Amino acid sequence: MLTKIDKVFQEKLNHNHFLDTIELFQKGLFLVAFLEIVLRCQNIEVLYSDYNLILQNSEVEFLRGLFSTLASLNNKLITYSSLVLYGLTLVINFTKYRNFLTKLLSWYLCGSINYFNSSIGDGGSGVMLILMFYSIFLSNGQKEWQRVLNNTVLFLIKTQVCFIYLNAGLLKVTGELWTKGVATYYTLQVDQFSHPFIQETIAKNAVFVTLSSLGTLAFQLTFPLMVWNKKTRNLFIFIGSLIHLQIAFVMGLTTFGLIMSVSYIVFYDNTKSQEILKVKNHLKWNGQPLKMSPLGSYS
Amino acid sequence: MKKLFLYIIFIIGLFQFSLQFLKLLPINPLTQYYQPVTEQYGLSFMPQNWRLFAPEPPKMVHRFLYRCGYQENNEKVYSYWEDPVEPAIHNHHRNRVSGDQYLVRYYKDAIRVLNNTHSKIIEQYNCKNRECASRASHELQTTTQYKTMVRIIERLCFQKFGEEPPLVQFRAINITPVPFSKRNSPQAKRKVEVNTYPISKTKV
Repeated sequence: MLTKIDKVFQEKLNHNHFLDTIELFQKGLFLVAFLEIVLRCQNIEVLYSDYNLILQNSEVEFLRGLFSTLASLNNKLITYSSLVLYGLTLVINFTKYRNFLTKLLSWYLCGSINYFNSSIGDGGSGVMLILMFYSIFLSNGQKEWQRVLNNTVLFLIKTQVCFIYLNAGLLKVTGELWTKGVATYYTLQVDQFSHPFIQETIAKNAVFVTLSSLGTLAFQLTFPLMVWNKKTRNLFIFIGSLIHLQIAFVMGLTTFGLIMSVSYIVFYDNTKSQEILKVKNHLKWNGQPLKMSPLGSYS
Repeated sequence: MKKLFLYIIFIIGLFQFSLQFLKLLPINPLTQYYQPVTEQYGLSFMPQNWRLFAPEPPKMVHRFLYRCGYQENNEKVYSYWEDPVEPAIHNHHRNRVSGDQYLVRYYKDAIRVLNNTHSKIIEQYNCKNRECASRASHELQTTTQYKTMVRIIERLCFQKFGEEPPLVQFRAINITPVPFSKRNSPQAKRKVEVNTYPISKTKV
């Protein structure tokens, strides 16, 4: 058994190095986290000024113990300072100056801020917290042990993403509305996840409702298997990205939609991530790469 | 040393995903035996409570109305009923990338949790007369959820009128959508339940 484990580590985890994938993933993760905190701070006075104004609910109180510092202190100045510090660590982590400590601090502050007012988070807050925890162990190092560690963490993130879908998919199978193919209709009837125009038009279309409900179910149940296959991976990532961008910008669950799209980056190979990071290589005119002219405009 | 480190990572990964796997299995003696461990793990710093509108999407929309009571010339004067969610949801519909989505969730969750607490108390008392209902109402008003809701409304009144109100009142509104089978019927209307909570004194 131990020899087999060792073989897996040597052959699979020590073989390739996904430095650009790791870089792109971390940039995406911390960018979404920064966007989320900026949006939350628009109503800072209501959401973070006083813990006594936060309704305590055992259903949503999933982050407790470790992250309860801000809630127990309940001091406006400390809470606001933590929000600022969190924002700063996210900015640092977006750049190449990130390190173990800045990522650890981001993760802890993310948990504490989520715990302070847990009911305002969507599913994305939980995903973000877990991805931040994993990202603590990612590094830019070239040493063998760092390569093994990076690959192991990437594997754990991939498995985690699959478990999210498996969990949701298997739970949905036990629900009546999803298997009947009408769940999308009821989801879109909730005003915060919909739009009056959508409620009156496509949400009432039987074909759309059935296809989207059963399609979501099929996607969530098959994703954990199909994403490991090189032939089907890109298709599933494409469909998943469309679903999650729709969740972010049509249903209004911004954090969840964006963070799930970011989580797909871990499935990219290094070349693809490298290409995305060098966006200007994609900007072409008549088949030639664009170059910056001395005057600053593209020629 | 390197091998030991790798084995530790392997064991942590195995533990993490075995527990998730146990959580996903249908109920059986094994899952029941490990339920306390899997539940605690799912509630800790690695939250694993992925629902994504599962097993069912929400079947009810929760909203509330509030009004503020002030003393004027020895008379109690109440403001109009206000809906704090409506302006936030209007902005949220216009701009998906705005902070209003958090306000919507904050207010909706506040009333949803209070409704749940209220339902539990009603179930517990199972009242058949007025006296019992009064006792249940009194118990509700001693709960943290109710007190927090009063404080939230006190804050809303202060924002609106610039003065903390001595009295507040709120109404929970639960909206059930038109069933899918009747979605195109012109007569079909959403079911709206209103539950008016008693007038409450604030600390002022």
